[in-house]
Amino acid sequence: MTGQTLAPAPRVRQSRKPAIVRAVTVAPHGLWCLLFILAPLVFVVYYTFTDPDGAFTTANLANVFSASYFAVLKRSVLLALESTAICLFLAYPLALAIAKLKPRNQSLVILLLMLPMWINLLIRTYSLKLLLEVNGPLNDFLGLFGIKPIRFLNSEFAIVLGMVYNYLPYMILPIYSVIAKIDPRLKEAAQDLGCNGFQTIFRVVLPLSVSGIVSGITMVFVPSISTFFISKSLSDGRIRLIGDVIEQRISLHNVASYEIGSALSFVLMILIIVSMLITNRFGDKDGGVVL
Amino acid sequence: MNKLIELKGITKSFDGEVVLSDMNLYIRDREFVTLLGPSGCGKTTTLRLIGGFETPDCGDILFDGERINDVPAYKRQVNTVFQRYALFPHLNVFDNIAFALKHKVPKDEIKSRVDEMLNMVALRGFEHRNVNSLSGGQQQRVAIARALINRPRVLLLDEPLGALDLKLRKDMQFELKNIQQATGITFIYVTHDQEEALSMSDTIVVMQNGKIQQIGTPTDVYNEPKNAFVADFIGESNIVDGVMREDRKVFFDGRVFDCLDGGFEKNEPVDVVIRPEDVDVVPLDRGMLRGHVTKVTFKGVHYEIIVDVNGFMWMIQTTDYVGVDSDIGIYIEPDAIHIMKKSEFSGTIGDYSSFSDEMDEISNPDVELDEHGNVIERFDSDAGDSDSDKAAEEGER
Repeated sequence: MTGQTLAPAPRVRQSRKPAIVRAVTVAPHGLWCLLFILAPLVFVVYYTFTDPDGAFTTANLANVFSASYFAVLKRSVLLALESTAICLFLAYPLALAIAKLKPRNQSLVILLLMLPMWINLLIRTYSLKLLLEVNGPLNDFLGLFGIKPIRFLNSEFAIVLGMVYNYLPYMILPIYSVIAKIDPRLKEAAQDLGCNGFQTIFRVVLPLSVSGIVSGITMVFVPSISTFFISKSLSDGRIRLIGDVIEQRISLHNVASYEIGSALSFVLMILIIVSMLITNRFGDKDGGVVL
Repeated sequence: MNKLIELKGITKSFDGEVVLSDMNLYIRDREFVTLLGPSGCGKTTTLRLIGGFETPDCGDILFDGERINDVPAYKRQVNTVFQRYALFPHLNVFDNIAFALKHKVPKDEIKSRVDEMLNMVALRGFEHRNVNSLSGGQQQRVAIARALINRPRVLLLDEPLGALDLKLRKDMQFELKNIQQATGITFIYVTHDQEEALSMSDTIVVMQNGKIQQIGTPTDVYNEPKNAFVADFIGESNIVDGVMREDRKVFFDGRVFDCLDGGFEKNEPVDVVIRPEDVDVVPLDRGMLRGHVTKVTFKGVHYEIIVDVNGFMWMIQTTDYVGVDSDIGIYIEPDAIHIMKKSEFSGTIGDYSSFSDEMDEISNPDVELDEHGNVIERFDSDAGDSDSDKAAEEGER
């Protein structure tokens, strides 16, 4: 009965278009979601929990946590965390500095930051690889100071550098947009009440920009943990991350490798969902994530 | 009482636009000073200079005799109640109020001082409330408590009551005055509301175009305005061109009137101010001037009538009903006439053919044009309230 008394409220919001029109307009979107989002997920779950005969099994999942795959998983998580942390520490002061510029200069700097994003990720990563070569420009430059050529590539350092280089703008932009919206009078109020510049940042600006930090972390951590191209090209395939393994397994095109690939994807998905739940918990206090 | 704050030859401009020019002002300890003027007159800039949020282009700011031009805001013994409060949205009421004390005094002292503040602003029991869930008046109280907890020498208030409705504004005026008297803290109060300024201040500083037009007690600036701007901005005024024939004799509207002012040159052109409430409406044969009533508005306590006297529109407040289109006699007592020197504002204001409320001259969309193309503003309810209140105050004096 109570359900019936509550029912009229949402009905007011409904559009007056006939049901058939709504169904037709929503259909393409629904079909798209069904084919390209829901169906792949169903397949991932299906292959994760079945053996080649189609019988239920948890062996694939157990396999993921075997020594060799688990090492890859651990490395992926660690490198993603590292690059996310580095991005955060680089991006936050930068976002603060940009927000202090005159409005016109702010949009210019943001445009400059966005500029590399207009170039394909593959091309950016290849150029970074060229820069880091033993006989590349960076070593040439260091040579001017008498430093012997350093082998940058084929190291976790190179991979983290690649992630930071590619994903830094995704950390800067959400943080900047939140900081830029903070009422300048709040900073004045903090100063008025005895805070110097640093105290103002830590006691007012930082707590008010948590939502930007949360979206920045999400936007860097998720692609970092699932990347395969950056690690592959900057280590010549020698340092493998979970993404590389998934790509390799799936491209083998046999049911057994689909199964371990799916199981890895499934675990990765769980990892991402858990990390987003954790970060969103922090962000929600300020009224949701700003993307 | 000593000079607590002194501004000496302050000039300030933004992007080449001069906001304050050669301003000199001192503020005594424990004084309630109001900077009064229309928007853009430089009053908020003056406040921000004292607060340390702006630095003057030239001139000195002295605090207790010491130059503080280069002292940053966080080191000044001055706290501010910001326009629209600027409460920290990530902190609750308690933490907002305690903000200035955190990490500086022991926890139990913070607790007792916040409690003391909450008592003062009547917000006990609100400690853990989210500041965004408070009403405007409650947020206002939190802002005041937050600014006062550090026991500043001076409290700056930037249009603190601007966002409140009329009734609440009246209550808060009263409370602010009480807090000021109880704490003995110097208040520097910025407002464009002349009535607020008159009812709260010890001293009013009237500003326009980046300059101080007059400094004085509320009764001084009301009864003895220095120029046409002050006369017009504070209260209602009929400002007529006149000539000072000799001491205590002024000529305007075709005849000589007795007045109480003197000290002008012989035959010096002057501005003559007659307040609407000081004009007596009399039968035609007893009038010193005669006028034609063009508009009558009932204001509750009195009627406000616009009267055409030789082509100049006067505003007169009278308790007796007069009909539109009637001819009346006007009688002015010598003490109702106030003589001012001519100023840059002479002739630009004081005629009620284009009556408007100075506060929302431009922003008010309810404007209409009369047959001469002049703007007539509707008498909105707010203006009506403040006018009748003023009349009530006048009656009490």
